[in-house]
Amino acid sequence: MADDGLNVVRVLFQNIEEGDRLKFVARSNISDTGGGARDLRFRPETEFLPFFKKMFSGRRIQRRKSNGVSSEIEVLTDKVVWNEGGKEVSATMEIWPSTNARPNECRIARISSFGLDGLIQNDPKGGKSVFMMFQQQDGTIRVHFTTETSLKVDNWDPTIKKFATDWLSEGTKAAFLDLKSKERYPHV
Amino acid sequence: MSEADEILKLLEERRNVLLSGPPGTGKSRLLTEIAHLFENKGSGSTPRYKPESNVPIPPALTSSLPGDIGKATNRRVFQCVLHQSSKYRDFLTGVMPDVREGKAPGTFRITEGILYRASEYAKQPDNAALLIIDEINRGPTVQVFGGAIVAMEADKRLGGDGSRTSTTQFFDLLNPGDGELVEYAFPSRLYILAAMNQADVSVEPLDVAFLRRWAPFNLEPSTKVLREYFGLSARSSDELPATPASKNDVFEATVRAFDAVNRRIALGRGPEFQIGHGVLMRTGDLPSSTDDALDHVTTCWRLIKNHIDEAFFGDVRGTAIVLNADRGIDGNPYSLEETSFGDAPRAQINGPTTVAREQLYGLLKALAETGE
Repeated sequence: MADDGLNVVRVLFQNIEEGDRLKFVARSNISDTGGGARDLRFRPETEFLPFFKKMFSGRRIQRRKSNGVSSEIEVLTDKVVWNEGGKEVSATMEIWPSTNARPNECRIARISSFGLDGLIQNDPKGGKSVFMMFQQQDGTIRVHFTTETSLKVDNWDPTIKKFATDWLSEGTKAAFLDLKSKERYPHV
Repeated sequence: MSEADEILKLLEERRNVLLSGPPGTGKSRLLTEIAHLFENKGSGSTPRYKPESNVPIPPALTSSLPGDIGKATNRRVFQCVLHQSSKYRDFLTGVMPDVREGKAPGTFRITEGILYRASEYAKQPDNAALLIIDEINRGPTVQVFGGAIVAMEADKRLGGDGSRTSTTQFFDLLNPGDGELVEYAFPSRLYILAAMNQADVSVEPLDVAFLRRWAPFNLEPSTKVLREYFGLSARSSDELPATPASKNDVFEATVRAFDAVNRRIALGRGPEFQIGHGVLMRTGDLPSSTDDALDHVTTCWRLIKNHIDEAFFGDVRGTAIVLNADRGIDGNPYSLEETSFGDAPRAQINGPTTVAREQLYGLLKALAETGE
């Protein structure tokens, strides 16, 4: 009998633009001084944070100071798994809520710390590079890199392919599909 | 073999399948699943991670489509719902005013109904069409099919290569191409799957001659499905606790109550009036706490109670028996009262219009009692 734990229950896509590639190595977009943005951002937070809350099972409270005011925020945590050279690698990923400076954007924190930059796929036909996360029914969260052409042409599951094709034609930066609750973004 | 696979096999053998069952037994889910399998060459509707594959989530083949369905290169699903205004011209062909843009007033056109379009698609080489008709007993079914009724059965169709066989049955049809009446027959690779709820009190029973042309597939309420859904083990002989200590206590009481209520409905009104397990299932995650579970089942109970009231409309004693209101069970918010209207004896059920969450567990325990 098939192992239902391998069934996919949630899928997330994000278009990796040139500026985003630098986040994977924590380089500045405007200078070569090092540092710079290192978080993958998702907006609107009102759509993506509830989705991440279903995907990530861990919670921790973090103190944060903004404009001299200290507050507590809830950080979502969970182990994510990816394939690197035929081996499974895992690390703990964190989802942080929006800041005052960037309202309505939640983010995968410190994406640069995962060393994923070498896995980003270039589209052979000049299409989009795509960061993908999906969750299995047994809770496992996997990270995968693919391309617009692959999602449209390769032998993907028809549900995933249709969702990806709809998202790519809609043109939003990121998208998610919850196969359990049937929630999706964008709402096409 | 899954229900979807059984139905696909039946479609291949008989071409026309009629799915029936009480509300909430999964008819709509099955129609969706079969449509998905048919159009996606047997790939299930649940994507799966496959570690050794080129892409991580390839099509998950859950079904090997049988016979001609599996052989067709191109396949398409046509879907419709029958209703009281459905007409022959909506299904096959007919004359109707042409109000499309650019057409002169008073112009008429010949329609291409959904059965005609599915049939024409299936007539193309290497094509197969599945027509899904939901709520088939909600409209003037026999009129809608008209003369086509004689040509539906598998052995009355054209041969696999589109040629006439010794048993092919033709009927007259207004040809959309030239407006002439032509002899028409259905192709071999046209499959028709219909669904209905037999217990719908607002519809007429279907014509026997019509029903004879369909292979029946009946669905029943299933406590096994509910137990799997709620993550409960097989029923034990343990007594239900006086108060629920966990969400599983609520689920166990719910499943036992559901089973007992259905058994009484089947005895009092007939098995087709039972209520399906789907009424207790919801989209999304399971309730996560005892209170969530009570809230969920309280909402579901409103639907179940409405169904009981509808099925036993005008039969107070029947309703009371289903609710175990005639047995004076502690905790049951419903009770049967013998009273009178003038000199005439009367019975009435006392109880809340809407059961509160606090009353629910007592009700479930009372409903679950079978007196055995």
